[in-house]
Amino acid sequence: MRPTTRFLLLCTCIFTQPFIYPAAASAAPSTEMMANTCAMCHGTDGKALGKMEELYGKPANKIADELFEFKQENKGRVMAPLMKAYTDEQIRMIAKYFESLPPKKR
Amino acid sequence: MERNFTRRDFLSMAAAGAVVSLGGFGRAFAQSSQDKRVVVIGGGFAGATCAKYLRRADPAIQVTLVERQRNYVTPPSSNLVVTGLQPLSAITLGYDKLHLNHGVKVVYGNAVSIDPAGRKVALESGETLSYDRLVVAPGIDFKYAALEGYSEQAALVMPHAWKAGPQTELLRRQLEQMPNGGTVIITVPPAPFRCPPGPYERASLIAHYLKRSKPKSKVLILDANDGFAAQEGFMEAWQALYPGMIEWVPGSKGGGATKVDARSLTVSTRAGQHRGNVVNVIPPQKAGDFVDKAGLSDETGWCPVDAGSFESIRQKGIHVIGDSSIAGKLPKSAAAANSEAKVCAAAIASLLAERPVGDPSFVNACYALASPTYGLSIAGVYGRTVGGIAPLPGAFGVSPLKQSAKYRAKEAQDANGWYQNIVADSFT
Repeated sequence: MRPTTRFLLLCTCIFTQPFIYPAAASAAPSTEMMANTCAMCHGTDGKALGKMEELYGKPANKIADELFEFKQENKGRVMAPLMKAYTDEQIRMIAKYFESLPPKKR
Repeated sequence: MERNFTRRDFLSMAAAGAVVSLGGFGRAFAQSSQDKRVVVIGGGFAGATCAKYLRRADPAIQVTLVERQRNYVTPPSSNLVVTGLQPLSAITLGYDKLHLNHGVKVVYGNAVSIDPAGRKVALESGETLSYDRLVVAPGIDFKYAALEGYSEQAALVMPHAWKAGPQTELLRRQLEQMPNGGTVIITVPPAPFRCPPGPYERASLIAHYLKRSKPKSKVLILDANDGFAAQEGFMEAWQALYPGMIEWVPGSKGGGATKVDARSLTVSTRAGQHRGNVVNVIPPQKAGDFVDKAGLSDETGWCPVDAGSFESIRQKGIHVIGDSSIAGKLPKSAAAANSEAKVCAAAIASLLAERPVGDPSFVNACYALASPTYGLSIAGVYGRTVGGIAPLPGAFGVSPLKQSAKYRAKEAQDANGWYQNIVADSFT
């Protein structure tokens, strides 16, 4: 990156997001890494207890559609800000991950 | 986790069992030298989650969890016990499931020293545990010397109740015995401290209890800081639920406690002296004392770590997770601890297999109750950034203001669901 470009990028970050650092350009956590963060509310492997939404083994397009709705329409309480972290592709990957978990882990 | 056990489950388990035993047979020849040992010190949310997720990442890793106590009382939900809404037993857990479900070896004992060069941990019992990688997760300890008049003895009169257990019940009993018209003082230490919204949730739930049982009473928060987590949401809730009952004194107005006296139940600040009927002193905090002996903490009292693996900056081969670590903008919460533990487990599994460590991803999701049916939330997705660990752009949020009672009730329900699931994800 040329120094001027870097400087301009830095300015953009400083002036638009005063308390948020720019994400490293190379950041690409694995799908499993991202999906494991869901477990604190939705259970290990998405096997939820109580009234939380179950993700385990659910059809990927059903999960993804719901997550897109949270992201685009600012819905789902905490899910609204959380989904803004991910690209549409990452959301599809997370959804597929839960769909594809093997039955033997159940 | 309870599920109906069906014939199909039985068949799939039997099939899985066959695969596992073949795998075990193969390993005896191929991998005996590859069996790696990880020792985890501390069985809170961070340590328990890390032990479990290490075993999930690679069953060839032998994981030993060292924990002082057989039962763990969760700090989350302990404010419900303080205010009599739940018994202590509802938030008390054991470690059996980590062993039964995941093959974690649990050793009840006290780790006293580490030999980083020899990769060994010594226990008080005289036992020595060897490791390839060590995970240290001792939570917090108190800086008694930083608050004049406060000590372990003083805490028997002015409880902190910031480590859950007997202290939680002591504070509950004191509230029950307090006369109507009394004052409850909560002192809040300088940040960082465990559970940033915790003191204000406690003030809320105490007010909820007092409003019903001792309505002439008040809650006085003496705060060393000038602002707090979900402040606007709490203020809105206090106005709506407990008008005039909770007073918050920020640090700039002399809120910071400089001295406490257990005999007279008084708290001194720069601005004057306050006497309470119940005094809950949340003391200044640091990383669990064990890290100092191990040379893991810096001058702040907390432990600097690499953001991708949580390996100590100071000692190679040793990872520090949970409240003890310096984790950028992640708060000292059970949720952050759970998330850090998974990142650390994945990193250790990669390091032991000599694979590159992948990029981390963290979630923090914290709930606080302003009343049993009024929830507030703070949530964000965090990643590694040039400055350490921080929320990804746009991916951080606090409960919006001016919501309906139905919305607040849903967030209170989310809080319960969060508790149930994070406990299961971390300990079972």
